[in-house]
Amino acid sequence: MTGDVLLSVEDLTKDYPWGLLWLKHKRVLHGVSFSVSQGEITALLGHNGAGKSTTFKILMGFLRADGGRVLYRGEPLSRKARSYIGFLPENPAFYDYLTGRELLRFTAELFSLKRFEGRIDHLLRLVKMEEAANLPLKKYSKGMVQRIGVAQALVSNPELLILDEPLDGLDPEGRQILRNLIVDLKEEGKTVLYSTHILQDAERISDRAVILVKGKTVKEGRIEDLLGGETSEYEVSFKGLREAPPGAKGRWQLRGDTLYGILEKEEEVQPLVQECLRRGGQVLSLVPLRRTLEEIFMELKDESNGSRG
Amino acid sequence: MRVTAVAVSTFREAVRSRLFLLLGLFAGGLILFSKVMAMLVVGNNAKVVKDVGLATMEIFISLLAVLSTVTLFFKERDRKTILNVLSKPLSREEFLVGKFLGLVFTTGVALFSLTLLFSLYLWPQEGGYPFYLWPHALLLFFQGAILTAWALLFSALSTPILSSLFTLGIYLSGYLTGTLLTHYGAIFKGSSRIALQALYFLLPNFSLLNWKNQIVYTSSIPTGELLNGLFYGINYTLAILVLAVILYRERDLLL
Ligand SMILES: Nc1ncnc2c1ncn2[C@@H]1O[C@H](COP(=O)(O)OP(=O)(O)O)[C@@H](O)[C@H]1O
Ligand SMILES: [Mg+2]
Repeated sequence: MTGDVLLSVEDLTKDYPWGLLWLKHKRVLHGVSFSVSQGEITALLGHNGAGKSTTFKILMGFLRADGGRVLYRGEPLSRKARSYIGFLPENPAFYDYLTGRELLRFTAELFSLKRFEGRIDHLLRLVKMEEAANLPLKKYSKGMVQRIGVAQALVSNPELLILDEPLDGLDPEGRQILRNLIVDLKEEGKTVLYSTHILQDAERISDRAVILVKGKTVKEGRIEDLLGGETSEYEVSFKGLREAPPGAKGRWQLRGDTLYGILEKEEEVQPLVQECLRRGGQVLSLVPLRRTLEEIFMELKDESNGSRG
Repeated sequence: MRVTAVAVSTFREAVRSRLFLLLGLFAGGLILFSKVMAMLVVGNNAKVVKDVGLATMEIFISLLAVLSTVTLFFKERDRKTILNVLSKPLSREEFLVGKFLGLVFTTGVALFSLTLLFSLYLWPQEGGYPFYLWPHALLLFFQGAILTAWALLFSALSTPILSSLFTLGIYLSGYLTGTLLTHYGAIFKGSSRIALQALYFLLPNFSLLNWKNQIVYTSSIPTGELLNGLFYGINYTLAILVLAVILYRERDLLL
């Protein structure tokens, strides 16, 4: 059911070996925990090197976690469960002598599917790649590779899609197409977990976000909650007034012939606007100001630097 | 079948590679050129032609097996196409076995073409179609399979250069082990003899698979030796493949 926890990741740790004969170890995940609910889009947010790809590689079984566990529908994630997961690697590369359609066929064979041509046509349409379907992949642009990559992740009709930086390296138009595609997938009933370091994208299309800083989950929650209701502010602007009405709360500023005010409480807005209108002012705009993920992110990063330094 | 899908894509990729083309042209060229070489040396011309052809077949198949395995495996890792393949419900063992079959099929096709070319080339000079080349090619095929299995094992665990060097070491030792035990076995006593015997089991014994020296003179491999070679080739290849799978199965894919 929508909203049920599909995937839960609990306190993952991971060391990478390095140095002479790989005898030394470097810890890159220090406790990554989050959950993914069915039917939702969850963004795994973090700067480069935060450990997003490492986390995904553990989920897909490429790497073994040194600690922690991953549950899928309450059971330890097995190879069988992985067949319900579609995956798109970071900067994906496929055999580039295949055409788009051949890649999807090859993928279908890896899933031992029978009678897949209909599904392949459907997917090509879904990712808007019908026209390029018979071109070899080496002729594809980055955005096209990314889209055919999403299509190959969908071949087996998985419940959960894991996309590693699907929006990375695309031009604005390509990003737009892919964002829409992710939202379409949610509408088809898929659950999506994707990583990004681009906060605006996460803010636009995700239901939930998990913020990873230096290999640790530092915040997790619904986007609205992360952005925080109580910290919202409202910006009002008026023409025809030179100063705030006496006794008005908030911060005020006159720029040119426009008066700007920032109010901290929702209930202050209505009386203030009425007062200004009474004084002959003209409302130009009223905008609720929300915190951006960017701000949250910067704060969290500073905190974690502080606690380490 | 999942393994077949991997094998077919491996084959497609292998025959498209520059390496395959280059080695193929080189080997074909050497065989066609062997008559010219024969004219340049004093002595038994027919024997020189045969010598050059047989040596070419062997070197070609060994190089192709080692180099195409190592390069393909690393291309797969380097370009990270492996992530896409292994994120499907395809186990590591299926992946390795699929790669192995694709590569062995590639060397098989190459060996078949080369043997055909060489046999047609020898036909006039021999005064009859040299059927005896085919059993020889079959055994050589297993030498290639053994090298492919070793190269896969090393590739799954180390870097391309190391893998090539290690496999080359295996290749050379494959000719030494048999000689060592048969000719100098008596020198070794006690534990050193046991160690030698252990080595003999672990390293391939290509003297069972390569009858080049007999073929140059007597023209055919005795049936018993042929069966013995086949039995050895199949079992040894399987053993190395199983070892590779066991070692690769639980490993982190550090790209
Ligand atoms: N194969 C590897 N060997 C050693 N260190 C690695 C390896 N892969 C990634 N790392 C390190 O692990 C950390 C996390 O990397 P990664 O998971 O790729 O981060 P992200 O995807 O968030 O950018 C980085 O510091 C990176 O340098
Ligand atoms: Mg990454």
